[in-house]
Amino acid sequence: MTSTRLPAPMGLLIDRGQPLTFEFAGQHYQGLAGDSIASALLANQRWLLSRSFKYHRPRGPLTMAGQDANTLVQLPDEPNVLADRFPLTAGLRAEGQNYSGSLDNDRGAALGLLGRFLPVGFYYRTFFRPLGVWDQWEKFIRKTAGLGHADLDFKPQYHDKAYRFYDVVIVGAGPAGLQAALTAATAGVSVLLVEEQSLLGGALSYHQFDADGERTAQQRHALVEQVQSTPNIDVMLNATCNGWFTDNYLPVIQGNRMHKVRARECIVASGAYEQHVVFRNNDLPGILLCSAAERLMSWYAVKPGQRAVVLTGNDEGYSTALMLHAQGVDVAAVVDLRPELHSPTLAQALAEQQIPLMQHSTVFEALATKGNKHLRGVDIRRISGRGQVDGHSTIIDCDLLCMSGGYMPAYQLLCQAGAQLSYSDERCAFSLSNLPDHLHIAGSVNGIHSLDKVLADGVRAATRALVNMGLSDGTPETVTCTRVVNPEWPIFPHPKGKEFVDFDEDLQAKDIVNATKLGYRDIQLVKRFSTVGMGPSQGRHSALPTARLVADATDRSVTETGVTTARPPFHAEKLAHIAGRIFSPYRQTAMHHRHLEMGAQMMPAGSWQRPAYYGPAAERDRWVQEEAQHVRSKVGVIDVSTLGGIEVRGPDAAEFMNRIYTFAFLKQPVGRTRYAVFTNEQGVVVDDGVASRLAEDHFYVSTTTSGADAVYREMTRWNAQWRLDVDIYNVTSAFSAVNVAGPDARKVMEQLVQDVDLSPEGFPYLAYREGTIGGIPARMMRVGFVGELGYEIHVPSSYGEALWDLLLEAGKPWAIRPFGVESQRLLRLEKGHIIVSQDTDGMSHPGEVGLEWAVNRKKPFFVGCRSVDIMMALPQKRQLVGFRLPGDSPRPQEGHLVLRGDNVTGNVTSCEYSGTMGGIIGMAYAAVADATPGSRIHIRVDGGQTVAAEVVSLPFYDADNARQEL
Amino acid sequence: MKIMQCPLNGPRNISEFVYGGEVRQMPEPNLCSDEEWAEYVFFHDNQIGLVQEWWLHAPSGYWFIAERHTASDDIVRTFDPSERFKERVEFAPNPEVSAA
Amino acid sequence: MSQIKFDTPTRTQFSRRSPIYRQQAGALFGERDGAAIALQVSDDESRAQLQQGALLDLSATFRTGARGRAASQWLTQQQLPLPAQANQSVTTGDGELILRLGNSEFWILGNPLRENGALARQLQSAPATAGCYPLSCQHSHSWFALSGKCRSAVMAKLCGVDMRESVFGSGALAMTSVARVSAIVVSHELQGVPVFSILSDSTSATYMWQALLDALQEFGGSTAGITSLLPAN
Repeated sequence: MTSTRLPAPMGLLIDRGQPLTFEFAGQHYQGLAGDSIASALLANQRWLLSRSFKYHRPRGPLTMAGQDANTLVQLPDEPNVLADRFPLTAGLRAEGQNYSGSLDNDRGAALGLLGRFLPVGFYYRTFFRPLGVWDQWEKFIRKTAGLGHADLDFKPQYHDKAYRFYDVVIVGAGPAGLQAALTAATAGVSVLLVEEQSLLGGALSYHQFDADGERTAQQRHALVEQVQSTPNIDVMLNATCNGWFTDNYLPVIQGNRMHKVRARECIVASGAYEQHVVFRNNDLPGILLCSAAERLMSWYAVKPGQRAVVLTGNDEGYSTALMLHAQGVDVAAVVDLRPELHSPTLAQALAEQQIPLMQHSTVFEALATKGNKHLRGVDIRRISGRGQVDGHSTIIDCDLLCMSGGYMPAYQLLCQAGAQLSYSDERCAFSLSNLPDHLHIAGSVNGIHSLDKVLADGVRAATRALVNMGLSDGTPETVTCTRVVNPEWPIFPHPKGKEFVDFDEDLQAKDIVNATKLGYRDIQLVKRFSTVGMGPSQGRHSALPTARLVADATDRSVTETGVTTARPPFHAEKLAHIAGRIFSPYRQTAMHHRHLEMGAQMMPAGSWQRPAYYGPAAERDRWVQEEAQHVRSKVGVIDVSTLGGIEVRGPDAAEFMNRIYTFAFLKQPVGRTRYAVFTNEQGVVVDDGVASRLAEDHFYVSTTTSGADAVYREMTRWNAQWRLDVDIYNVTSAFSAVNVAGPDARKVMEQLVQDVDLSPEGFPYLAYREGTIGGIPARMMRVGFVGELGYEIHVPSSYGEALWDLLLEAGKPWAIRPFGVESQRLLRLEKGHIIVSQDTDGMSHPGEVGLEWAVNRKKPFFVGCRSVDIMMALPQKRQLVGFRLPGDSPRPQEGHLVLRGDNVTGNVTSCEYSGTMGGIIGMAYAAVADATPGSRIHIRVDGGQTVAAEVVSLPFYDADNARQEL
Repeated sequence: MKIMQCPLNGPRNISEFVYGGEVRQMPEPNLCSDEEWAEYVFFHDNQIGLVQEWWLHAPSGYWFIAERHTASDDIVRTFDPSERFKERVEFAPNPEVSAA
Repeated sequence: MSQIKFDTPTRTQFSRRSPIYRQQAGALFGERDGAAIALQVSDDESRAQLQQGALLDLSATFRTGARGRAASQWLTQQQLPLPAQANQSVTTGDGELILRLGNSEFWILGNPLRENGALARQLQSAPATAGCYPLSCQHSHSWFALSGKCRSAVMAKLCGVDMRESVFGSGALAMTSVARVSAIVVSHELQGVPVFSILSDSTSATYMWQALLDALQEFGGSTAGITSLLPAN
């Protein structure tokens, strides 16, 4: 099929020299470069684009601007694409949506006949009785109610986000926006103009503000030219500002990117949505808004029909009629809803073209061709009262009906920012007030409709923005426009219904009224019950008639009734836009690649990646037992670089340590380490570590892997109050650390350390030494976390990998092998050492977990001291105990409950099979009465079975701690 | 996204900051009653009006105090903690220990 | 300078290593301040590529720092110029970069194009007086440099601070969040080439390198070695 187009200057967007072939619903068509899918189809007289949501009624374009759901089509890899926005490409293949059979012959259309069985609130009111009936209906409803289908084999595309910063951002590049941009730019500030369509000009690009459109074209040309030649104005076309967030934070979506635009001043010149008139069959293909017909002609040079009727409640419709006439459409009548004539000049112009004018009349019903496929005529009646018509009907044959039921400001962004909507009965329109600082409004969204005043309003808004930035001292004059563009009541209920308020959801006038009769008086409840405004067009056309109908039915003013809350996003946005490129930082130690080379299974620990054990995951238990045994019998090495490290330096270093940790630190000798427990103000154990005193005024304290940032933050916050003379420095990433542990650990160390006396007397248990290891400067501590002779070695992290290599090389004669976190957890469990946040929870005070010995109450203060005092003076409710089970018993898991009769007294915190101990060992909270060694605690394991475990004293292994002190 | 004025780093997205709780006067822990201590640890005024809060600018590790209105969420003022905490804080000794 | 192909370093070469040296497999490395630094990543790199957009790993270059109430006094004694205000940087006549983080913290970053042994010895230890504490920024942070006209646009994909030339010109410094990792971004010149230096947690260095590279690729940028900074022969 070929198409004919109107001559220039119609067709601003198309390239007549570039024909494109494409396919829709199995048929081949030809369009032009610059077409949207919808304009190309209309050029081929293909009007039926989709089927409606509920009744499967045929639908064609309504707005030609991406503001309605009628043009949603299916692309091979994407559902719900707006055909009037999506640019046509060669070879494009599109399908209709929401039909069974074919788009042209939809079996689902029979649903329209069953309309009275699908009442408003259908989903809420049906299917819940009798019980179980939903299960039978669900399949059918899901099939019927869906729109497009997702391609589950889609290939993800690259989407990302980027910040942009501007002094002034203007949303909407119509006359107000263009003028505001030019005015703002004169002050030299950076300006961004965001336009949803693919060309600048807004209404100037399609509507004729003067009789022949010449001045409009000149005006547009001049504004666009100036904007494009102003270097400090950036323009984004095909870009949607999808929300307004605090402090003018504006997500603007363009292509595959979300721009996070930050504006010092923001001007919303988003325009107004032309509204439809509510009458029977107002949804037939061939019925569209006046502005849609104008866009078709001006943008795409598509002649919208052969014989037209224009139904209007304002003077703009007269211009549409004249434009249609000028482009060769036979205009059969202009039907004006208003009782009086408003513009004798325009009426005269109609008369000159012999276009009949019918005043105070409306289309009462649109007549359809077979199957409701297209408009074939209209039934016109005189208006006899509000929403009422008299009995005399005039039938006019036509294939095109253009309607304008007035305008609704594009209020969404402004209401997101907290603006108030109020309705003026005189102007029959909503207006916006109460804008936050640094947000301005201009043009038709501000209720200004005459072109000169729209431009003046652009100047005014931009000047106010400049005043706010201190760049202008002008006091902009208020712009007022008294033109009324909205008819009072463009709603005409019909006895047979199908006068649609909301096209997306197939809601008729009576549906809204019925919702109020059922008690849903509040507009928010009407929305939720009836689903009005919930469809893809989000109430752009249904909000105003709904507000009027609800106000009328509930005897309230339209202002009182209002509209439902506007929330972002303004337009449907893809999850990919929100997700963008994922930033999920991870941390790796300097030895990370060595672990991978040695076959480690890595496990996450916060944002860290740590080796769990070394070997294939299928034999996890084997590797854990082997690694643990190896440490007990020979020597192992573990990467502990993830432990937090904090330096505390200065004259008050000891005093500071004394206030943060529970132990006493004032008299800690230089060259010694001390266990450090951190309680919060509630007295709960929240972290622990080892504090080494490097000098009188210098401590180096470790924290748990997950606690480093929190402990550091708490330390610095406390000292912001205490004002001690101390420097607190988080050196977690500056040091790599390993723990060399096992009976042969000293022999390995002797290979590498020459400048430190490693003998038991020279470097005893709990001592701290500094020296070099293979030439690398190192801090060394004798620690006993795993209960064997052990050295913790800390080196600057750029040397971490080299240190690892040195140790594995030097340890070869003693068969040194690495061990992972899981093996280390078993080893420390055998020693009864707790892991804070695994064996403690949000209630654990030091007494419950056997740390009384680490609390010093002779000093004046530590964080949480008073809470610890209070809690430890109360009768203790639970105690962390060690328990044992035979090796063949079901193994409790962390979190399994400890029961005493029917009462829960605690839970398992750690549990593992221990080869060394020849059985299952674990720790659990138990009632104090059950905490004595020899008692039994009952643990409910997987499957509901209960096992009786024997309480034993801790540690399980090497009770007199001889091995670690070797 | 809200912007917060950091006294050290200037205006930044609120996502760069970490909330650190209300700024409250700690009662002398060794001298106050259990009730006074519990009041301090567990109870918050939660009233409409201006409150002083701890905020951390995480990338620079800088704590400061913000005066914020709990209803409007307006941040009226931010300032360095030294404006409020001028003196080195000392704690009274534990009386039970001193008595012993 | 001796040159070595450093695909996978043997266990004895360079005990001090950049946290991301593996990201530059195949590059030609040389020794700088006792560590390996990528001299040349691809055969055709040049100053033109720096204009287009390049990412360089300078982590191996010497740097140190000090903070505390007496830190500025100590640095002045060392004859080092100090930025006048918080969160600024200055470049010395020898091409060293001095950062002032907040009011009383200073970092001294060596010149990546020459040995910094003398400077390192000079600053080896801060005086043991109260109020001046040495910093371990050599190890706690990685140091990357991002060049090219696109560098502000690259950072805009990762960071919420406006880094356009007009507001974040040479000398500007921001402690902020880059790709959700805390970082210090400094605007300055390296051998006359305008760059952003990005200093961030060394344990997240691989993540940061990849995030920067991914953002840079849109503009046709790539990684480069330090020889690209040398004036064309």
